[in-house]
Amino acid sequence: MSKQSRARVSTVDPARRRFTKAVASAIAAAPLVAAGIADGAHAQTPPATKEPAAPPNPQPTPTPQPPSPVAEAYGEVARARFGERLTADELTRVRRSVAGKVARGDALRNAKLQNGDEPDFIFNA
Amino acid sequence: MLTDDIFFASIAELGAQLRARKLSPVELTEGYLARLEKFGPRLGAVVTVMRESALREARTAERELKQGRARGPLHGIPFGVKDLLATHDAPTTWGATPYKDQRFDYDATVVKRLRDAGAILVAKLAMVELAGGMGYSHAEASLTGAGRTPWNTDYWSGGSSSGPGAAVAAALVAFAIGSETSGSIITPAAFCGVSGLRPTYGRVSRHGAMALAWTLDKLGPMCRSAADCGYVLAAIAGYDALDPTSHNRPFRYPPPVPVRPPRRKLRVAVLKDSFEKAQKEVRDNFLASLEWLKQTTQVTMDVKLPDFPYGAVVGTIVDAEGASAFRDLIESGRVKDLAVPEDRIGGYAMMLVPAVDYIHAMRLRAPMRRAWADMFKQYDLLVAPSRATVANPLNKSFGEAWPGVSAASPIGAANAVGVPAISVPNGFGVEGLPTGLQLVGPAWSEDLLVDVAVRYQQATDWHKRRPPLA
Repeated sequence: MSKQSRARVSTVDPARRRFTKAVASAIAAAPLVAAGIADGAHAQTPPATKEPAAPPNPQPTPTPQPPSPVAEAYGEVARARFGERLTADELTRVRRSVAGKVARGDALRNAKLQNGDEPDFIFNA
Repeated sequence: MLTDDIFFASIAELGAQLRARKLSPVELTEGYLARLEKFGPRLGAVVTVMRESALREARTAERELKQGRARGPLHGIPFGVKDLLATHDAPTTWGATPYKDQRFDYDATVVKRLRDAGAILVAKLAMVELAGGMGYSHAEASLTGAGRTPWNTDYWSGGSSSGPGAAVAAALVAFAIGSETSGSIITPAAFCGVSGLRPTYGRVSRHGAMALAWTLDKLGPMCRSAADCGYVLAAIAGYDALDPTSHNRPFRYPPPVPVRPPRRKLRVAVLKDSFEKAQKEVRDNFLASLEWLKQTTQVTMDVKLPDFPYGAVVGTIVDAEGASAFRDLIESGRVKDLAVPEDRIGGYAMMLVPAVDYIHAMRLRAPMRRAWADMFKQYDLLVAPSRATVANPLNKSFGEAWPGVSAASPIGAANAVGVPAISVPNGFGVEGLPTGLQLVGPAWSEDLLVDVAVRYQQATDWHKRRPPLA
């Protein structure tokens, strides 16, 4: 990892900083909007995309899709929070990973829940 | 001079000889230590050999056994633990350079229970860094380099319990403790040709174990037979006040009463799409295992799992809980010291998982558990190949290892709902590498899983084969 590429990533002009702040605010609402859209969708079982602690069982390779606007926005958040430590290539890979997680969030939202379905953990006072 | 027959012997065989004083705990421990030092490095299986403390424990065991004070079936038996379990007398590295000098002043509950049972801790065993939580895709993702299966050292021993898998297969220890968040016992058990038991969530205390994902992490035995898994689970299971998720569900082995329902055949479900497009040898070996099952059980083919987004649920939970568990490491930038490039940046994306997605995933787990409980009203067991392929070659990333192979797996889903599973060797595939049969049961069904696996191993000898070490 070269120092030059690190410096390039961490040089952020004020306009981009303002854009990043605006995007970060917008993101907070984005999942809610998407959840509303998905309300009528049926639960579905996509192929397991991640078995994180052990390697994934072989699965069909999905066709690469261009990142959604929400994924691009999250990518900007990643750049704002961690860009100083990342080379351009690393940041690209982080953005790709973020896009995958945004798509995974869509899969979650497509699984319907009722208001009374509580999280599967118990808080004890 | 002890022979390989001793080192590869079962816990029951070793224990009988130790209690009859035909075998010395000190001599046995010396023998395993020598094997750890000779073969451990070339298999990438060992982090710390605990020579001094092990010999001290062995001398204590020898003295007690001479006095006729046998503590139980594990007394005098040498074992190893994945290096994510705290021990007061050795570093606990979590398999990762940022923690290579980390020390604790106590023993994990599992280690304490095994030491209290008279077992002798001889080594802290290698693992994938941070149990794979940062999203690794190469076998080299470890402080100690790639783990190698003793069946062919150009191939991986699996992850993230890479050291326990290799060390048990090569008889560097009599048994080992691994951990599983999503596949980390079943996978190395399959790739190394050993028996690995992932207990029900809450069966075994995790106190003193590295946390990756609190609501998914489990500890379990990795052994050379299913019966050995039974003995070890019996020693480590049960409530622990130091782990509030642990249950008062002790496990006894051998079982005090027969575990099978006496009036009907067991009903076995074969997971749909789990073997048809697996590697040819995996498929053939699985079909041969099914033929054995059909002799005594009622087998139903093409059973689908209840319809839920398991991959998304498990991935979201591991990301959110893992990012929280390692937030300091990620935000400080010390992740740069991890072994492989993908782990050095994986945490940054994990940090951005929305809280709402995490809660949504956790909310889905209750209906998922109910649906699995309903499924297990129709079937006693679910079966599938442990993995769709043999071990991955070391010189390729996981994605490039075995192109064209595609199969459904119960691993992620079963971990999401917290049910137990056992993997036992069921043959060999390409390059002389082992394959595995995976049995999954309802919550708290470890007695049934071990019983069926023991019967399978009474009818086969795959678990008795020895890798070609020289």
